[in-house]
Amino acid sequence: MYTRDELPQYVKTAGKVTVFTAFTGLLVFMVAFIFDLGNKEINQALAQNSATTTLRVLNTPPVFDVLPYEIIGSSTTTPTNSGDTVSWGAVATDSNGAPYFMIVCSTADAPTANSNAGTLGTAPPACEAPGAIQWGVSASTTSGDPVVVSTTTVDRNDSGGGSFTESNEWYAWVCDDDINSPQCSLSSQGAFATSTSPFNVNSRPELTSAPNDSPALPGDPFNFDTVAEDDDTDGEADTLFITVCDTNTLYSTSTNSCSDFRASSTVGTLTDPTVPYTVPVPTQDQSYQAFVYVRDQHGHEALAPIQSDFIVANATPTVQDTSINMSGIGGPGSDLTLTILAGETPSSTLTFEVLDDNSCLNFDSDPEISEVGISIFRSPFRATTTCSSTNASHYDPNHCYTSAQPPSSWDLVCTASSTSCAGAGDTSIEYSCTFPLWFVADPTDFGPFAGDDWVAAVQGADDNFATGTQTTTAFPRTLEQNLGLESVEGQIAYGDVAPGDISGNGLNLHATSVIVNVGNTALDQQVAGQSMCSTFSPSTLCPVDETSTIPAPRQRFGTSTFLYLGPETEELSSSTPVTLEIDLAKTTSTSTPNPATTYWGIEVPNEITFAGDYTGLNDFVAEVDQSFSP
Amino acid sequence: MNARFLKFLALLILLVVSSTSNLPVVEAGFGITPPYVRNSSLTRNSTYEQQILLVRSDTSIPQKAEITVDAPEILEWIQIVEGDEIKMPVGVQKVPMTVRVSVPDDADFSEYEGSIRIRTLPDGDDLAAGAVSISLGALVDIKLSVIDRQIRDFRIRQISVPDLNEGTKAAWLFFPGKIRFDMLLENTGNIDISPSEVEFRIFDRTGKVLLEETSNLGKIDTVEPYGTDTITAEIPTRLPQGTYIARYKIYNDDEVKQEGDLTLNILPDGSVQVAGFGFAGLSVAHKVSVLLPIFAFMIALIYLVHSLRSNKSRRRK
Repeated sequence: MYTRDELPQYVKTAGKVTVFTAFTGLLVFMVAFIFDLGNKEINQALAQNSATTTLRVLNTPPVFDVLPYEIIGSSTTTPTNSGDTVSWGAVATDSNGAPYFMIVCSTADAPTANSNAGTLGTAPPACEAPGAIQWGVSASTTSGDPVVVSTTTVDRNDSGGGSFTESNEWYAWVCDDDINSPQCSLSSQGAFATSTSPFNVNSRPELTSAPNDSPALPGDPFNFDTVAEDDDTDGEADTLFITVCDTNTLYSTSTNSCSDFRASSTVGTLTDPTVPYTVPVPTQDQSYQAFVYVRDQHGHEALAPIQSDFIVANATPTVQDTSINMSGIGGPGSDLTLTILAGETPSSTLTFEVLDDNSCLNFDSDPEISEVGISIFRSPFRATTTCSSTNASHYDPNHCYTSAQPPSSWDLVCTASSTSCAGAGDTSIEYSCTFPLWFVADPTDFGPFAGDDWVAAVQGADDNFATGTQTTTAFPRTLEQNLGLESVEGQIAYGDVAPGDISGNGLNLHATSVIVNVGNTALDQQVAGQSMCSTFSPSTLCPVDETSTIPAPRQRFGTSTFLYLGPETEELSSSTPVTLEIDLAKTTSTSTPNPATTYWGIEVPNEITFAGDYTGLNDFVAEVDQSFSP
Repeated sequence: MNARFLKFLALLILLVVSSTSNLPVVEAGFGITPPYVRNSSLTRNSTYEQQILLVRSDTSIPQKAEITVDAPEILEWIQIVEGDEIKMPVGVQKVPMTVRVSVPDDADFSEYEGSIRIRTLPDGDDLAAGAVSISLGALVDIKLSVIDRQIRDFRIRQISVPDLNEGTKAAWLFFPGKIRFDMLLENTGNIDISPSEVEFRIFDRTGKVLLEETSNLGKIDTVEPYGTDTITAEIPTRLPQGTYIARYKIYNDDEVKQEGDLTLNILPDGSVQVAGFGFAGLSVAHKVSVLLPIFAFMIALIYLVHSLRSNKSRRRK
C-alpha cells in the first residue's frame, strides 16, 4: 500500500529501475545490432505490412510404411561374401508427398537431412556423425514407392576393406530434402529375422600355396595339399574346402565347382584343406594341368586358384595269365605237336593281351607297349631264373625257347593287333605270335617228362622301358611224343655173294644200315623183311623157289659186328617182327640227330642157281623206348 | 683274283666239305605223333577216337602207309577210319590216321594192350633192283582200360569273354547285360559233362573294389566223353559300361577246376550285335511283377468262364 511517508524511498527505487531498464535496452540493442538478429523477420514484416496474421506449418519427416530390411538377409551363418552387394529395402511416405531418401548408417546418430534451393529430391541426407560410416543412401524415391539402398562389400584384405568387419551394425532413416525444414524419420534396424541389423560380411580365405604329392600311378591316390587359412571367426571359425579343376576358366563361383572337375573335399578343415585324388585307370603317363581352388564354408573362394600340376607315373605293363593262350597246330587250345622230322615245326601260336594302366596309346598316340618278351619252356624251368625272355643263354631247343635269341635261332614272329587298342581309354592291346619248335623239344605226355607241361611266359615293356615281370599262362599244354626215324642209306648193300657164301667174305656181320632219331623220344627198332628174288616188288612177293629165292631168315642182323651165326644176331622174319634193342636215345642236338647202326649179313643158299640181282625190302619200324632217360 | 685268294677259297671249301662229311646224309624219314592210343576210363558201349598224324620228310615221292593192328584181344574194337592203307601223295607231308575204339557192351572190365604197326611203302612197285631197300615205319602203342564206374572230370584249356552290352531298362524292368564266358573244355571223364557253376566276382579297374558277385543262369551245354569243345556260360551283370576286372571260378560240383582274372569290357547298349538277357535275366522281384498280373488275369478269366458255365447250367435246370 502506498504511503506518503515512504515517497523518497519510492523515488530512489524508481530511479534504479529506470537506469537498469535503460541499460538493459541499450545492451539488447547493441547485441541485435552486432549480430543482425531478426533481420529477416523484420524485412518480412516490412514486406507484409499488409498481413494481419502469420502461420507457418512446419515440415514433417517421411515415415516408414515398411520397415527397412536386408533384401538378402545376412547372418553369421549366411553372411554376404565380400564383393557382393548388401541391399536394404523399405517403403516410406512423406506427408507432403515429397520424394524421400533412405540412408543407412553404421551408428544410431541421426544423419543430416539436407535441402537444396532447387528442386526436391536432389539433396540426399548424409551420415555425418563422428565415427559413422554411411553404408548407403538411396536415390530420390517417390513417396509411397519402395526404396532400395545398396552397398558393395569389400574384403577385409582388399583396399578399402577396413570399413567392413564380419558383423556390421546398421541404422536406416528416411529423410526428405524439404527446402525449409528437411527432416529425417526415426531410425530403424529392421524387424525381419536375419534381415535385421547387423549385416555380416564373409571375407575370402587366403590361399598361399598348393603343392601335391604326385607322381602317382594310375589307380593310386595322391593328395592335393594347400597352405590356406581364414580369419573369419564370427559365430564359428570358417572351415575350408578344396576343389581341383583342370583349368582355371571353367570354375563357377555360384556352384563352387567346374565342368573339368577332378576332386574336391567334402569335410571342411580350419586350415590347409587337402583332398586325395585317385588317378583313373587308364591315364597316360605325363604331367597334367590342375588348378586348386579353396573356398570357405560359405562358398567364398580365395582370391585366385593356384596351379598345381600333377604327374602320372609310368605304370609297368602287365599280362593276365588267363589271356595267354598257347596252341599247337591243331588249333586254339590244342596241345603242342611236332610234325617236322629233324627240323622245326612251324606255326604253333601264342596269343596274349598286354595291359598298361597308362593305356595302350602314349601321349603321342603311338603304342604304349613297345616290346614283348616271351619264353616258352617245359614247366620245371622258370621264366624268372632258367628260361628268361631276357637271357639268350637260357635258350635250349629241348626245353627253353626265349625271345632273347635272334630270329635266326628261333623265328618267333609277334604282331600287335591293329584293332584291339581302342584309344587312350583302353588299357589293353592284343598280340598274336607264331613260333616254331624243334624236333628235339621234350615231350610231356609220357616218358621221363610226363607230368611236366609246356608253358608260355610273357612280359611287356613300354615306351619308357619299364618292363613287367613275366607272367606264365594259366593254360599249360602238353607236348606230344613224336616218334620219328630216318634212314641214312636207302638200302642195305651186301655186295656180291656166291651161293653158299656169307656176305663180306667173312664170318661177321658187315653190311650196315644207319638210322637216326629225328623225333623227340628214345626208340628201339623193330625189324622185319621179305625174301629176296629178282622179281620182288612190294605187291609181288617172291615165289617159294629154292633156286631163285633167298628166304628172309638168311639175312641176320645185330647191333654190332657179331658172328653171323652168333647168339647175338637175329634172323630176319617176314611174319614176326623182331625188336632190336638199339636204345637210341632222344636226340638233343638240332644239327646232329643221334644215329644207330644195324649190322647185317646174308648167306646165299647153296641151292640158288639164278645168278643176278636180287631185290628185297626190309622194314625198320620205330618203337618208343619208354625206358629212356633224358 | 690273285693266287693267294684262290688258295684261301680252296682251303675254305675243303674245310666246309670236311666238316659236313661226318653228318649222316638222310635218305628218308617217317614218324607218327602221338605214338599211342591210350585211355584209362573207357566204359562199355563207349567210343573213343584218337587221331595220329603220319609225317614224313621226303614228299617228292608218293607213298602209302600199310596199317596192321596187332591186338588180338580187342581186334574187333579197333577201326582205322581211313582204312588199312593210307595214301601219302606227292607234296603231302602229313596225313591223319584216326583210330576208333568201340567198346562192346559185353567187354570185360580189364586192361587191354596191343599195337598198331605202320609201315611205309612206295605207292607203286618202284624199288631199286639188286638191293635190299629199307621201308620205314612206326609202332602205335595201345593201352586201354575198361572200367565200371563213371568219371566226371574235365579240364579247361582256354577261356575268353567277348565285349558285351550293358543292361537295358524297359519300363520298370531291368534286363541285365549278358557275359558270354566261353570255355574250351576237355572232357577227361567218361560221361557227358559241363561245369556245375561259373562264378564271377567283378571288381573295379584297379581290382580293389568288389562291385558285383554273379553266377551263370541256365544250363551250360555238355561235352561228350573224351571230347573237347567250346561251351558258353551266360552270366548276368548289372554293371554299367566300363572296364572291370573279373575273378572267375569254374566249378565241378564242389571242386574249383579253374580260376583266374580276366578283363571285362562292358560297352554302351547296342555296341555289340548280340542279344542280351530276356525274361530269364530279370531279378526275382521283376519277374514277380510281370507274372503276378498275368496270373491274376488268368485266375479272373478262369473264374469268369466258370461263372458263365455255372449260370448256363442253372438256367438249363
